[in-house]
Amino acid sequence: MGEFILRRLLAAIPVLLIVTLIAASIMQLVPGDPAAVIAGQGASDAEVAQVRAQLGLDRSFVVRLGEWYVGLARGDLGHSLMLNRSVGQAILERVPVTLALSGVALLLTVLIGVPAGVLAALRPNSWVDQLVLTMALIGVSVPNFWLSLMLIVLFGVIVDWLPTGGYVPFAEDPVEWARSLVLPSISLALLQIGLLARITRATMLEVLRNDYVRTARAKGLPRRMVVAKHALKNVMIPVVTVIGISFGLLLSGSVVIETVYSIPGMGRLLATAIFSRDYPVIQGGLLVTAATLVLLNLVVDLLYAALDPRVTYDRR
Amino acid sequence: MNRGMRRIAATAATALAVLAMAAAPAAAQKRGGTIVFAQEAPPPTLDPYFSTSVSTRNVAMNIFETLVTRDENNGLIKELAQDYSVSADGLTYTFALRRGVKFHNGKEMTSADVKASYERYKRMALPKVTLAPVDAFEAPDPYTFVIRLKQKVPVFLEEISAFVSPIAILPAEQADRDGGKIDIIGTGPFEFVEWVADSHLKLKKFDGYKPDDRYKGTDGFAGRKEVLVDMVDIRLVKEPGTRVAGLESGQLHIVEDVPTESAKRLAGRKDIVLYDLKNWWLHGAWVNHARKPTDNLKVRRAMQIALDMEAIMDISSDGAYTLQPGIQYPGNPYYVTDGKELYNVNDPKKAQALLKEAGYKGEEFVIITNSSYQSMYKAAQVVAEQLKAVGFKVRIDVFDWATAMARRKNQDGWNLWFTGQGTGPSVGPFTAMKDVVTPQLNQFVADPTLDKLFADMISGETMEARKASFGQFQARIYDQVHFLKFGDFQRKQATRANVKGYTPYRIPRFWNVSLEN
Repeated sequence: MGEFILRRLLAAIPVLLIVTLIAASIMQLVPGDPAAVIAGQGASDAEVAQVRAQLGLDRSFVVRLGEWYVGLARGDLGHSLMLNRSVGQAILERVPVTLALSGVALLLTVLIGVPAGVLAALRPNSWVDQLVLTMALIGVSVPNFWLSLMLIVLFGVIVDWLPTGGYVPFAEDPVEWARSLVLPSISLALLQIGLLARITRATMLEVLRNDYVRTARAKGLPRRMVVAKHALKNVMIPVVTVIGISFGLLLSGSVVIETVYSIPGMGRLLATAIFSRDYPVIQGGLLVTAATLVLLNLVVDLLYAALDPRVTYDRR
Repeated sequence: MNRGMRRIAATAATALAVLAMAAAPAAAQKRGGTIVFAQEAPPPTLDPYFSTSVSTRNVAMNIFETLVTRDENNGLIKELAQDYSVSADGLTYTFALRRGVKFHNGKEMTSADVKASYERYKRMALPKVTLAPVDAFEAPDPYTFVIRLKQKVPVFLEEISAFVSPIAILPAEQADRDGGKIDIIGTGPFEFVEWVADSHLKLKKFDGYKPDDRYKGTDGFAGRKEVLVDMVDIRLVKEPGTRVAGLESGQLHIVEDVPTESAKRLAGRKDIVLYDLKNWWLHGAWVNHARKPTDNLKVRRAMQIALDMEAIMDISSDGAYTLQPGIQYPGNPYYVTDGKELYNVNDPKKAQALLKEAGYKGEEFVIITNSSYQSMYKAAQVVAEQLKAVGFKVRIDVFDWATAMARRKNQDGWNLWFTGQGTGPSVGPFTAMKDVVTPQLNQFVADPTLDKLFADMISGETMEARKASFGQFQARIYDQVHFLKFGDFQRKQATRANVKGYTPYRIPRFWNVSLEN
């Protein structure tokens, strides 16, 4: 197992290097200039050129990228052109926010999506099934920026229970922290709940048709035990895969939700950086996102082994 | 004390209390609390020398101050300068500094700080050309600052008081810092606390601030600034719907930009006050004189007279606009209407005839606009339809702002490039229209007559002479179609009803503003 983990981690290094190289090269191909963004709309070409020189952007792309990799080897992700801080610091500020938001959203997704899918599968074509499928369809198809605005108007303005936006760090005020996460995590989770409920339902239906389930029932085991003990564990393999992908999507930044609710997470950091051509932040942010996804995949693979005794990573 | 005495004493006490209340109206204003202000865009930097953007100024102008600045009508006003004088030959400017002005680090501001700040500005500020004519800065004593010029610049005071990238006075120790690398320490009424990117900025009342008693109240960037709140929390809220919801629920106190449609809905509410910020933004487009078909003046004229500015402005501003031909705002010292006969002509038939006369053969007419500023995007759509209607073959290229900026330099890539100017026109004609004269030349082809008029405008000895040159300059812009002006935007701002003393201006001013319960 240890060897497997080590092998996977080592294999990730070239992947991450290629990701940063591609990200940096694509940003070079996109026209636009961070100096022009800093200088502002009214700045003349000469003023923009001056900013470019002061930021060192007049040097060649290869030189700048080389410098960035040298810094990376020392664990330095560079300095943001816009944020007046190092990229490492900017990312460290955002990671807890995104983790909290995606964590709560994932919790909602799993707590609602899996039971809803199981319930629907146990009574196929009943009203429960229809209800779950309809709700899942709505969750998947309602645009989440629209849903967010409706939730803000309802819970932030009309009944006035929750804040309309913004983020309060946990250390500052745990209650406000929780309150500030309610609406964004619901908005974020709805799509994932719909997806997960549908996957769980489909997988469960398939598993329930298997011979071993029929055998267990024939042996006289109560239906509840068959579902909870035999079927559910087998349903979990594809479901864990989907949860892994969902969490990856949630983590890599929910640009829309973070923008609508003014939450300073990774998604907004990257989106703002892309629009203002803040190259070091884009490269550093994508590196961290890619690394997170690689780790997450590893965790999912390890979970397979935990869930299914047939899966093993030790070499025989 | 007998009963009579007691009654007299009670009456006297009541009278005293009434007198005290009448004598101190300021004391009636509530003090304390945190103003929560919602701003759309994050500032790219807080170094006032290093950006021309509104989002930087919104914050920085509450923290920093300058020697001279602009009043409510964009005229000149003294701030950190107690007084100034100009020598008879126009080469020496002597500033007497206000005494007892403290920086946020507790140090007193002296001429050494002013000299160091001006030196830094001359070395690295974006508009450092402003100080190019300077021969020497001198600090003969702690409260006197002298600027010696190499040649006479009649508009020098106007230029150093311009606030696009203001010459804020910083502590002398920061003179060697590069752009964007300063500590945020000024002499203004608010001191910097924190900046959490994409979330918020916090400012707090600077206890060492002494209001300038030469003035009575708020006046442009200067005036008597009294801080009536403890903190200002500047939230970065990009989504307009969220800003309005925050205002409605009372979680935000001041919103700098309310969509017109939302403003209509909020109009009847007692707990919200709406403001019109007129002369906010001048809307227009640069015209390329190097690329076909707009290299031909007749084609440019046809385009100019084809346009219906009312339709363009109505759609792009959602109804919050004024139509006027000037490239300065009405009320500004330099406001003129020369060239107005070519503004908003809206004569498609004549335009069609002119296009035919010009020998237009259906060459592609390329419009560049951007999706970052919705008003520019919408205006481009309307202009494109109006031009198609008179026979132009139009293509619209939509980019994000940074890409559009990069594309502007490609003279083969466009005919009309959509833009807007907010601050430039309020500072004066030199800033607003430097882009169409050598060396900037957004239209790519120099117009020697226009360059000459610009030089006259700067070197005119008197205000009258300069204004007369500017009139001719503006007429020339219309005559040669160097720039297409559509109209002026108004901005809708709103506060909660318990915010008192707020007056809309080019930046949100948090001084003299109080929060009632």
